[in-house]
Formats: sequence, C-alpha cells, structure tokens
Amino acid sequence: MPAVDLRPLLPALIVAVTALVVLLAQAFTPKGSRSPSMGLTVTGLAGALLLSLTMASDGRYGRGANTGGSVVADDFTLFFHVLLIGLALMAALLSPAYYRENGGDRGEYYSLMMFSLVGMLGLVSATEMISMFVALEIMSVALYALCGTRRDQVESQEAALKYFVTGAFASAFLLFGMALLYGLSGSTSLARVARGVATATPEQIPLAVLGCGLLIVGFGFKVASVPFHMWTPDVYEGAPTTVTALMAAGVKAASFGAFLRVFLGSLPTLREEWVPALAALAAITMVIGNLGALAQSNLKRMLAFSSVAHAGYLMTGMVGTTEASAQAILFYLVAYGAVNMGTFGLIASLSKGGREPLSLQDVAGLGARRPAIAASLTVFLISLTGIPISGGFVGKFYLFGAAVNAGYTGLAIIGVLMSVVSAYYYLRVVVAMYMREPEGEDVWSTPEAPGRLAALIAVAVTLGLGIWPAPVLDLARAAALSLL
Amino acid sequence: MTASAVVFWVLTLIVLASAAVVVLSRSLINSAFALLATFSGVAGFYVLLGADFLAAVQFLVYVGGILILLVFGVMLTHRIQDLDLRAEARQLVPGLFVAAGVFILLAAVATRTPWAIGAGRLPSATTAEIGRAFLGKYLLPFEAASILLLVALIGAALIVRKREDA
Amino acid sequence: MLPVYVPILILAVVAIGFAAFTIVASHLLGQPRPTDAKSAVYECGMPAIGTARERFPIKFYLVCMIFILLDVDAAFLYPWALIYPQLGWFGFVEMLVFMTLLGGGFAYAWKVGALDW
Repeated sequence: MPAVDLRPLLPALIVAVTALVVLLAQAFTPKGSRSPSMGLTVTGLAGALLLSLTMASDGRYGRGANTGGSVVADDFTLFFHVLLIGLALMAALLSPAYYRENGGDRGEYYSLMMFSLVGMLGLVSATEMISMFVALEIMSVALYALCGTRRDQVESQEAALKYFVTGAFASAFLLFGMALLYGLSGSTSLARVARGVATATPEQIPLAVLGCGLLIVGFGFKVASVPFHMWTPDVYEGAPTTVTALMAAGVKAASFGAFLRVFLGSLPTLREEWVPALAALAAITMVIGNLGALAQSNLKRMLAFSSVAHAGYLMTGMVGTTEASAQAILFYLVAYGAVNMGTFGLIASLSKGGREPLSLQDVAGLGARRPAIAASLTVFLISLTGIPISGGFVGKFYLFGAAVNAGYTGLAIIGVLMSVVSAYYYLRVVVAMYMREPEGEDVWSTPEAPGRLAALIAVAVTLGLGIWPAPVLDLARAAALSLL
Repeated sequence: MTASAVVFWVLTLIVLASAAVVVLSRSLINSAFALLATFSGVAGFYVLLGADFLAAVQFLVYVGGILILLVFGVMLTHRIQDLDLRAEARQLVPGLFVAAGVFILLAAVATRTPWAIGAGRLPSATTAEIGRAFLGKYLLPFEAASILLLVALIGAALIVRKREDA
Repeated sequence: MLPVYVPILILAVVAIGFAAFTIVASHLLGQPRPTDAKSAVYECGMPAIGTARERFPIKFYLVCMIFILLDVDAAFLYPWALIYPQLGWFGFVEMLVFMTLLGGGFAYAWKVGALDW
C-alpha cells in the first residue's frame, strides 16, 4: 500500500466535495424552493482559502508536503492556490445577480465553476505529467459546459463549441509533447524529465526540442497567445460574463502556473532553444493583441484582445527564465486577475434583463450616474494600461525589467510601445464614462451587496498592489524560489 | 515476411483505406461506418504491439461507444444525410505544407532518436500491470479521472436539458 | 505474443464470414417475386407517412453520453478487478471513492430528469 500524504490535496478536496454537495443539493431541492447554492459555494471556498492560507503560513500544516510524487504543496503551489480560490470566490459572489437577470440561477453553475477550480488547483500543483494533464482537462471540460449555459443565446452555444474544438486541439498538442518527453526520459515525473533532458545525448536533443515545441503550442492555446488566440474573442464574448471573468483571470493564471513549472522548473537546460521561440511569440502576441483590441467596439471583445495582449506581456517576463521573471509573472497574475474579475464583474453586475453594458454608448455618462462604478472601472482600466499607482504598473515594470536583464531589450521596448497603444482603447472607455453625455434612460441594475463586495476587493487589491507592492512581491519571490 | 509483418500490412491497408473513406465520402453515414473499420484496425495494431488492455478499451470505448454517439449525432440532425458536409478546402496548399512539414519533422525525429523506452521486455499481460500502476504510482490521476468523468456527465446533462426550465 | 489471439481472429473470421455467407446465399438461392403488397414498407398495418430519416430526440444523445462515461468507467474497473485480491481494503476504498463520485453524478442526472423519457 503506497503511503499517501493527503495534505497537499486538502484545499482541492474541500472544493470538490463542496461542488458535489452543491450539485446534489440542487438536484434534491424540491421544485419551487431555492437551493442554497451560493451560500454553500462561498462557505466551501472560504474554507479552502483559509486552509491554503494556514498551509502557506505554517509548515506544520503541510507546506512542502508531497503526495506520491503527483502533487506538491510548495510555496509556488500555495501562492497559486490562494490566488485561484480567491478569484473563484469573487466569481461566486458575482454570479447570483447575473444569473437572475440572465436566466436560471442554478446549482450546476456553481458546481461546474468549483470543479473547474479543482482542475486549476491541480494544474498548478502537479509535478507529474499525467496528473497535470488530467487536471487541465477537468478545468477545461467544466468550462466548455459553462460557456454554453446561456441556452437562449446562440453566441453562448457558439462559444462553447469553439472553445471545445480548439481546446481539444490544444490538449492533443500538449499530450503529444508530454509523450515525447516521456519517451526521452522514461518517466512522467517532471523531476525525472528534467534529469532526462539535462543528460540527453546529442541525438536525443531534437526529440526534447520537439517535445518542448509541442508543449509551447498547447500552453499557447490555453494562455491565448498569438497565433493560437483565434478562439479568444468569440469565446469571451459568448460565454456568460461571470464565466468569462473566471476564464480571463483563473484559467490564465493556472495555465501560466503549469507553463512556468514545466519550462522554468523542468526544462531550464533547454532554454537556449525555447527562449527565442517564446520571445518571438511574445512579440507578435503583444502587437496583434493590442492592434486587435483597437478595432473592437464591444467591451467584452476588447477585453478578450486585451487578454491576448497580456499573455504577450507575461511571456515577455518569461524569457528571463530567472527567479526574478517568475516573481514578476506571479505578481502580475495577481494584479491581472483582480482587474479582470473586477471589470467583467462590474459588467455582469450592471446587466439587466439579459442585456449588458457592452458598447461605449452603454457606458457613456456612467461617471455622473454611477460615480462609484465609474471610479472602480477607471481604476481597473488604468491598471490594465499600466499607469502608476496601480498594480498593473508595478507588474509591467518587473516583467519588462526581467526581459531587459535577459538581454531582450527590444522585446521590452515593444511591450512599452504597445502599452502606450493600449492606453487609447482603455482610456476611450474612461473618456466615454466621464466626458460624454448619457444617452437615454439609465436601464442598468444596481449591483447587489455580494457583487459590490467582490468589486471592492478587486479595487483594493489593484490599488494596494500599486501603492504597497512589497508584501506580494516577497510572497511571489518565495514562490519563485521554491520552483527553481 | 514474418506472420506479424503480414498482419501489420493488412491492418495498415484496412486503416488507411477506411480512413480515406471517412474523409472523402459524401455521405456522413458512410463516413461513420467506415470509421468502424478504422477503429477496429487500430485495435489490431494494439494487439500487434502486445497492448492487450488498450485493444480491449479501443473496442469497448471507441467501437462500442464513440461510434454509436457519432451515428446518433448524425441522426439527431435534420436532413443531414442529404447535405454535402465536407469541409471546403479553402487553404489546401498552406494546410498541406504545414501538415507535411509537421509529419516529416515528427517522423524524422521519431525514427532517429535513441529512445529511453526501448523495445525491451514486454509484459505478457499488460492489464494487471496497468491496474498496479493505477492504484499505486498513478493513484491520484486515477481518482481525478472520476472527477473528469463526473464533470463531463454534468456538462452533458446541463447542455441537453430542456430549454423551459433553464 | 500473437498466437494467443488466433482464436479471436478465427472467431472474427467466422462471424463476418457467416454474416456475409447468409446474405450472399439468400440472394443467390432465393427467388424474388415482388408484388406491390410485399414491397410496401410494412406488409400490414398503417401505410408509412413521411421519410424514415426523421430526427431523433436529443434524449438519445444524453443516454449515449452517459453510456460512454460508464463505458470508460468499466474500462477503469477492468484492471482494478484483476489485481483486487492483492490490494484488499486499500483497493476497495480507492474504487469506492472513484465510484462514489460517479455515483453522485449519476444520482444528479437521475434526479434532474435527464433519464426521463
């Protein structure tokens, strides 16, 4: 009987059990009465968050523990666990009002969101490729279904189908890459793969490089980098907005977590090969993402291209391959996650009767009518642009710094230039909110208390990271050190 | 030629010919039935490689399950038999180049590399070995697979559900 | 390795051969004398209305999906069953966890009426 230390799994286990309870509570609630989905979800997620924080702060509770070589609860894992559970908690708070306005507040949504979170938690903690792949599939399959939950909208169905087809394609590439690395090293364990790659004979190097390349394609799809970004605008636009928030913030963070663990953690000996490829991808991703966003008039599509652009910024940080670059990426993922959750969350909170504020006309005059919401949105957009006093500025500073230190000054310059370009389309929204006259009646909902709480957390995190970034930078550094 | 070489080439012929029918046939139903031969041929390859468990799963899941699902999918769709559903080959030439390039690259690397997993000893029956791996080294992904199946089940039920109660 | 599979091969050949033989033989031996009544879709009962190529209800699809999931589940059970005697309680508990999760999903599908016709 293998000795199993379950402690690294506990947060994910709590989330999974809560998801099952919510699912069955929904099914066994008599028709007419409401099942307490949101309450159960928030309780379960808060419990998992507390546990992760306890584990992170004290080694006795399982920090560093390892489950049968499959998952590890190192600082890197725990950093992501706190971030991902926090993001899911915010998405859960935002959901009830949104689903009430857009049809069907049902337990399945919360359940699938939590199962998706289980996949994300597994993805960042896996130290073995089969576990990593199964976790990735759990995350993705739950999201495919979530994308299609707005049954009355053809865009939602389209999003589910597109995400599924491209996602399955990406999984195939990832699996092929993993198979090649397994063939090289004879093991699915990332540590053994690292050793196998480090001691590869010259004849084996092409195999390792090819495996790396296929993994980059697979992860490229998941983090939405050019040229594997085609699905992003349609899926982000069609999916229910709270699901889009979870995708933009959570999936990106979890995928980058696994990306970092595989590439910085296990394949550093091949950096001569994969860093130039990554740098090229980062450059075109930043350019095409930002130019694409310029052309959008729909806010959700604009944010989708912005998500592509941000995949480019994050990959720019990755070319450094040092602990400083991992630190910068982790920090930026926190800032980016909070901002996206906040922006999509506010759009979702304002939705009324199946409509959402998605165009510049819709948000025109919001500054006069809804000063608090307009101010929050302004904070988020400033952070996305990368203007000082926001988390986005500090994050980009460290990301581009990591690229410069690695000798990729040109890449950093592209990043800065593209950030300037991005100011146009982000601040266009701010201008519309404050400088334009409102058109027609104010038809939007007033955000409810849970939604307001989530937005408040997002604003606090965004400004907090901008004004006093040191604590999170320290945590990110510790996490990065446990990885390398 | 040895017996296994003969079997290999017969299987190859079956798989390639039926796969060509799958792709080129005008009728979706014919494609679906040709897929039966393709899947069975692949199961034959697994047998040839001594992967008896994989062969059984290939029959059980692909031939017995996925194929039925595909046929249902065809039947669910209105008048689909009358449509010519072959994808338009709009970017045929670039597509061919990319596909051929990737194939040549993969084939060249696969044939030239000294693999760490060589053609060593084959376990005479793989199923028990796989069971030991499932419940030992790969216990966690094994249990996680049940979550994956559960999520797929919920997703299917959610998407297929009647519209009224949404 | 291969000789183990010869009986299966023989079985497959016999099965396919028998089916083919029956069809070909009845075609050759039978003497078709079609009449209008015999060629009708149903020899007795209601005349057929509309095309046979009707759309199937989506319910079939869900049942099929659930079937595949349980199929995969069975594929997981198979190697477990082979080594179960060596594993004892540990193996039992592991499989119990696996089945409980899927059982929960099945209970859900049943309860929300996914299996109702």
